[in-house]
Amino acid sequence: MDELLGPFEQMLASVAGRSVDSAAQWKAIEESGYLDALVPEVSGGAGLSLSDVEPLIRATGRFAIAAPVAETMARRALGVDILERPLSAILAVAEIAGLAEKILEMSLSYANDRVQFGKPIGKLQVIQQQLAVMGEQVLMTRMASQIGCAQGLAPSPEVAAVSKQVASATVPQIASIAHAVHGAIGITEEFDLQRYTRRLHALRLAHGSEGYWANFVGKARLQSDRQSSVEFILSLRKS
Amino acid sequence: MNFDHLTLSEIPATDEELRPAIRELITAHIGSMPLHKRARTWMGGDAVFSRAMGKAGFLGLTLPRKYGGAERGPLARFVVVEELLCAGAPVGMHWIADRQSALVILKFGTEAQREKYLPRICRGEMYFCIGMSEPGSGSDLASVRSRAERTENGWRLNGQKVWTSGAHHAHYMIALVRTSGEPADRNQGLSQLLVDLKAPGVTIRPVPDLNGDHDFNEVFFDNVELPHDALLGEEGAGWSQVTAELAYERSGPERIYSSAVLLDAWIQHVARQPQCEARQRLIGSLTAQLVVLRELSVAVTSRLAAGEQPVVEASLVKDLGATFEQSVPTLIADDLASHPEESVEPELWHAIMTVTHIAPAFSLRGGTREILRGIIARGMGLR
Ligand SMILES: Cc1cc2nc3c(=O)[nH]c(=O)nc-3n(C[C@H](O)[C@H](O)[C@H](O)COP(=O)(O)OP(=O)(O)OC[C@H]3O[C@@H](n4cnc5c(N)ncnc54)[C@H](O)[C@@H]3O)c2cc1C
Repeated sequence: MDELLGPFEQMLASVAGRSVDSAAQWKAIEESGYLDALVPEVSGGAGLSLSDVEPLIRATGRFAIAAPVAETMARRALGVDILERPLSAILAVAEIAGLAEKILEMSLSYANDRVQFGKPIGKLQVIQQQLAVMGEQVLMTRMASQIGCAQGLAPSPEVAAVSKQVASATVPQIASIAHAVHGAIGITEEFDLQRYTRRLHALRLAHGSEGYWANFVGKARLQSDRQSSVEFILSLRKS
Repeated sequence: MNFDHLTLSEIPATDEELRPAIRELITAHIGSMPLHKRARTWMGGDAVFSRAMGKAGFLGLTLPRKYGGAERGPLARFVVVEELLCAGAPVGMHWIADRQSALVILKFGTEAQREKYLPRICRGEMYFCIGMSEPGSGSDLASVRSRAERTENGWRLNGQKVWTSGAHHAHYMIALVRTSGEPADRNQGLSQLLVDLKAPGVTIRPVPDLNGDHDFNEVFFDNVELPHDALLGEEGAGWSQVTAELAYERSGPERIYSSAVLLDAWIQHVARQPQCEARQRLIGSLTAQLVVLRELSVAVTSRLAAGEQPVVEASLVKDLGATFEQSVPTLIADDLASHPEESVEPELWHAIMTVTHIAPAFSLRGGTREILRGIIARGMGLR
């Protein structure tokens, strides 16, 4: 997997950043060939599954690439112009997971570096407890992303709903803890955190927020004849 | 801590195949159990059920066959336990023996100790309890003061344990005690002892909980004479053994399913009422969280199956799970009381109040929320 991810990350790193011209960025992404990752091999693509590509989509989140990388990959593989909402939602989840990872990483290193009262704020138990909560939420989005991407390019709407509901629901807490830990510098234009948290908020709402998908899952569960939680969970995995 | 350690994992088909048989066993036994009892999940026990589980081969699933186990992986146990918890089956008698004591004995015990205890655990006949906490040692477990001294015939134990779940029906306790040095020596000089709870000098007193249920106890040791082979593992290695034990204690599906019986009963109630979008959303968000938590729990179990000790990972999932489990009674009680026109079965209210009252325990037992978050923070690189 690293053979796939490594060069992709290098490419993203070379075209990421706020001063990058978006046309040049897209050209580099396009030339990398990665946009055909999901296209079947017989059609000249790499023939990868959405699960294989999930780490790549997360990487676009980690580098705050606003260009529609994942969507283009999916459109090319399916040969369509417009993606169905469940698939779009899952692609957004994978990106949220990448953004969330990056924001956690920034917050942890900021907490270890920023000194107040003569010691790094990361030594303070209240800060540690908040970052632990953030870590938990990041883990939820990561698993939500894997669950969604395991469905491939024609996901069950119920599974997409579970995935996006959970990922969107983590966003307010992840963003607010990150900003709390960073203090005033975090809300400046100059400091990078905002590039990630602004995009995080946008993706929370894109293709349906947590409330939209909660309603969807709730309806599905009420209509299903699976009485218990375990039965419902197992019915999802099989679909 | 690397989040890549917790990835979506498949439960092998051979383990999935256990579901029909365990469901049948559960159905045969819980027919008459009222909801509020089932809602207590692993806090309620029944020796008849435990023996039936043993007989059907559902205990000691991960233990070697020569000790009566099924020699399967932790994911087989996950499947069985998931079914038991969601049905609210009365697993409390054998719960601790099957979840952790047997594994600790297998890992650290002598051959003679394994032969003595494990087959009976697998038959559902021998029950264990956990002797860690003391009045002065809760989160600060290394400060335990119970003390065992070597004698000619073995050990002489003095001291006290508290919050000991199930001590009143357990045959043995695995106790963490000081065998040398002073409490100031912290995690040096501690050992684990297998304490026969029938031995003279052991007194067990109930500590009723806020629901009036008898789950935990205080256990006093007054010059209790124990044989040489009461020592489990190495003398002085108690701390590292207890750390391994806690990994088993914190990682199971019981850390996400404590409110599942209640959740399902409430959803069945809502399904009989007129459609309501607010309710659908609540059902949807709780269900979605549970789906993801469940996959995280499977992922932790897969790490255990791979022979690792996923301490930080288990702490993350346990804290997430406890937060979820605690939110369930709060949210659904508000939902029901927001519909005063509806008739709600008294049993459902009874179950909601039982779980509401005991829910604080979900983030205390097995290590408090604050302690787990400290482990997580350090695991993520904060010092
Ligand atoms: C239902 C139930 C069953 C149990 N069963 C058993 C059992 O079978 N065997 C057994 O040995 N024990 C058992 N326990 C005990 C359990 O392990 C302890 O309750 C737990 O370790 C906490 O100890 P404590 O209750 O003394 O609280 P304390 O340690 O006194 O903690 C009180 C509060 O202070 C906080 N705190 C303490 N230290 C720190 C710190 N360093 N940083 C931040 N906050 C801190 C805690 O998080 C908590 O909020 C059980 C508990 C419950 C609720």
